[in-house]
Amino acid sequence: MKLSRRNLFQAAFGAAHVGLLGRYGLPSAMAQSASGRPTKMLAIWLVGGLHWESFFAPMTRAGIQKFIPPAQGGNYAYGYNPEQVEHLDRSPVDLMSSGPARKLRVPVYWNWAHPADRSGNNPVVGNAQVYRPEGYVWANPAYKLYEKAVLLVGADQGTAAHASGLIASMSGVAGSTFRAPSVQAVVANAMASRFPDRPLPNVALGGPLPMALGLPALANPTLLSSSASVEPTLSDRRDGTWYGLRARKDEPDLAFDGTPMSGTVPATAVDAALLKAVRRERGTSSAGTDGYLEQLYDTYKGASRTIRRDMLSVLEKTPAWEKLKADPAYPEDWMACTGYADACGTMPSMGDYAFALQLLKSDLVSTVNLRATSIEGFTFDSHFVNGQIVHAQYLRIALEMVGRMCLEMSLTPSRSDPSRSLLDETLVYVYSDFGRTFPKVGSDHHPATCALLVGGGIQGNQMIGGYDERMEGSPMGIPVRLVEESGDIATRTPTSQDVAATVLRAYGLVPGKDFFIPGGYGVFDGVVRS
Amino acid sequence: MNRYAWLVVLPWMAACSSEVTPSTMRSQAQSACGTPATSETLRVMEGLKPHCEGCHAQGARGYFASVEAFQGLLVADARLVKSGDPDGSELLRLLEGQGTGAFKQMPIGQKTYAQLVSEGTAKLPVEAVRAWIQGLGAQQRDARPDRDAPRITRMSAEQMQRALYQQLGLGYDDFFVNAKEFGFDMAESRGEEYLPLQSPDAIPAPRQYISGERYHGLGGGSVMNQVSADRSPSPTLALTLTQVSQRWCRKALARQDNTALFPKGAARTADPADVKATLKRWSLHFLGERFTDAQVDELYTDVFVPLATPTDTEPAYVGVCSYFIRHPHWVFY
Repeated sequence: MKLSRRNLFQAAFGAAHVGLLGRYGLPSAMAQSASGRPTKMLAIWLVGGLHWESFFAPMTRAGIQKFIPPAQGGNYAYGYNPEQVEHLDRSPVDLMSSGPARKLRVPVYWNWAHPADRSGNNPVVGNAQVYRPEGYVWANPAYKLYEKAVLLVGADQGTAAHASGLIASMSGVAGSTFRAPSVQAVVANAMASRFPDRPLPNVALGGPLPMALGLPALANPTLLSSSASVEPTLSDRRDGTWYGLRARKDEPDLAFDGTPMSGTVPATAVDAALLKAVRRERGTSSAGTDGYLEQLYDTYKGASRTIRRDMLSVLEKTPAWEKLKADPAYPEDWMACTGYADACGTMPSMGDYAFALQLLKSDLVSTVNLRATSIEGFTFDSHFVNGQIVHAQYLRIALEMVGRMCLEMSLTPSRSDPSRSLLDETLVYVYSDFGRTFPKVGSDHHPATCALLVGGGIQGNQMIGGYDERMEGSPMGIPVRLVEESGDIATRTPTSQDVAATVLRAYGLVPGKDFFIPGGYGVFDGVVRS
Repeated sequence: MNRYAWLVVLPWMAACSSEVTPSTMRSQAQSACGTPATSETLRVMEGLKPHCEGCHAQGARGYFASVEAFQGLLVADARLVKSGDPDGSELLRLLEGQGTGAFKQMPIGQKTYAQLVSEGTAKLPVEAVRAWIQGLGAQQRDARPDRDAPRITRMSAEQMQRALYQQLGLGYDDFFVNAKEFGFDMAESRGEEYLPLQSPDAIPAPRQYISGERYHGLGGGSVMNQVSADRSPSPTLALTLTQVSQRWCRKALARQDNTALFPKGAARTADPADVKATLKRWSLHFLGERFTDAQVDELYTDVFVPLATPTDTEPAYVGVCSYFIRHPHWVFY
């Protein structure tokens, strides 16, 4: 192994580099304000590790025949034949192309003539499967959602452990704890100066928190496990808690070191006394202690502003599902079932999508991290017998849900820029812990994963990457073109760092200047709009 | 040595050499400073890193977090690396699938490291590791603490709940009644009005989900809910602690015969002398330190007076109580 300068720098600084970057101000950079860039993020964590290859088909004919069981299952449609793989735009498919850049294509389980059909046999697979409508939302020609979606395929997570993989998907770097801030926090921080009116820059709706390691306190995630937790957390409505304590006074805004800043802090008498108390602690111990105290200080200021803002009233006036339900094909009380209706569940049973919609529509947030499942809270860690078969049923339903969410956003005008839709100003980043072993060999953890990006800042209808079809069992990814930190184009197998860098690049953030990810990283070529 | 390896060695030399100038400190400083990592050590670390750092980047076994970690936690630990004795080194045994501890091989999995090398997945041959250990001189661990490291940590959600119960004279029964669900004990909330909180992993578990959410709001983790514990001073902590402290202080003050905040003989009046005596007592009660008269006067003026009305001092007492609970000396320890 060559002892390169980069390796040495990386090794010498190790985890400490994050703090160094913070000290020199790098992470506080602003996103470019070029039009067309997203300013919000909806990150959807589908829990447990996904059989991405059961929904998307980024393989050649030979690869499909090698790795995917043939179409079967009747009402439990599972596996697919090369003949049922189609582009979502219905242009001719070249199953001989080895990639790595292809149009979005999937095994089609639905009836194109009657997409809601769930009882007819599918002649394309010799009637081996009964039509399944879930997933059609991505292909529906009335909306052409595929034009706004790109799938990054075969990224190596560097781990096959749940917590570590989640951290890899959120920050780019696998590990037991964060060694780089999450992409959610980086975006929240970058947008904070452009959108100071967003009082909750980084919101987490359940699941492990997208940490803001080393970034200013405002990028720390606010956990709102559900809409029910908003009122008792963010408002001063309850007399039992706030009687006699509501009065706020605009106090001069001071930095932790006492330096006057512009603006004021709407503090209660208790808040003001506490801010004074925290400031006095400065310099009494180590620099690390001061860092902790400064976080608390900034957080207390933020909490004062948050409660003053009366976000509850804003949220109460913001509808969740309002546009898509005008289409009879997409009712608000949608219920999905597996098989012969063995298990059924409604939209809310898959995650708090409605609350995420309210937060995004209300302009209170920059990023929302949503913990999502399939119906009735089904998570995808399907180690059980025939797990891959059950998993495929539930994944189609979960991705139908994600698609409906994106459609609602595409039909909702942006508040800040009426020429765009909410989907245009948001990058939807769908991720999981990792991939899973390919279905012929079960349903275990597999480090090769995918990421689905939908919305602003990207060039849609693409699948970038694929799987090494020379491998046996469960293949890893194939090389793709990446724009490295240096600006050079490289062709190599993508990693979780590259997915994170591509997500951040979609916001106009510049690698090496506005963000840094340990271990090196590149941006998928051709994904981000120039 | 690679010319860039000085990037690693020079800071060590600078740090240690500055401490050896006075002759009286020389021996002490030399024993404190660890052996610096050599370029060969760096090469081995980089070679092993892709296969190890996924699990070994943090904590007591965070060997791959930095060069210092690799050198101090692994190379200089004779239990793992015995200088000049590859076969006696657990590191090598683990790579060859012959570990003598809880794990037989590293990385864990079906294949040994040697097999990963033979397949081309790993690039650094076992022989190179063997040769490196063979050539290692005596190693000295660096015993110096990091002067910039934080010396405080935030109370966990569990600690906060326990401390609030004790200091406010409240308990489980003030917030929950026992209920059964499918035969299991559950903590049935006495009312969301009181902002109850309970770990979802506790026995009895909270029957109302929001009681568990509030526990998460304080940074509590849960195996059941797949939520990691969070000890950062996050916005959620500040918002939740503000609400909980105010509501629970009010509940404690309203409870009959609660001597936690007002022991027998302590007067709860609007008289400045009584109030100041209470504030001084509460500083010891909540923070474990006795405020000076000047501190008490300031708190009385800044918080109690603005919140008190001629007919009602209750909000003022609630405010002061909440102040102590959100004070940095309470939140951190």
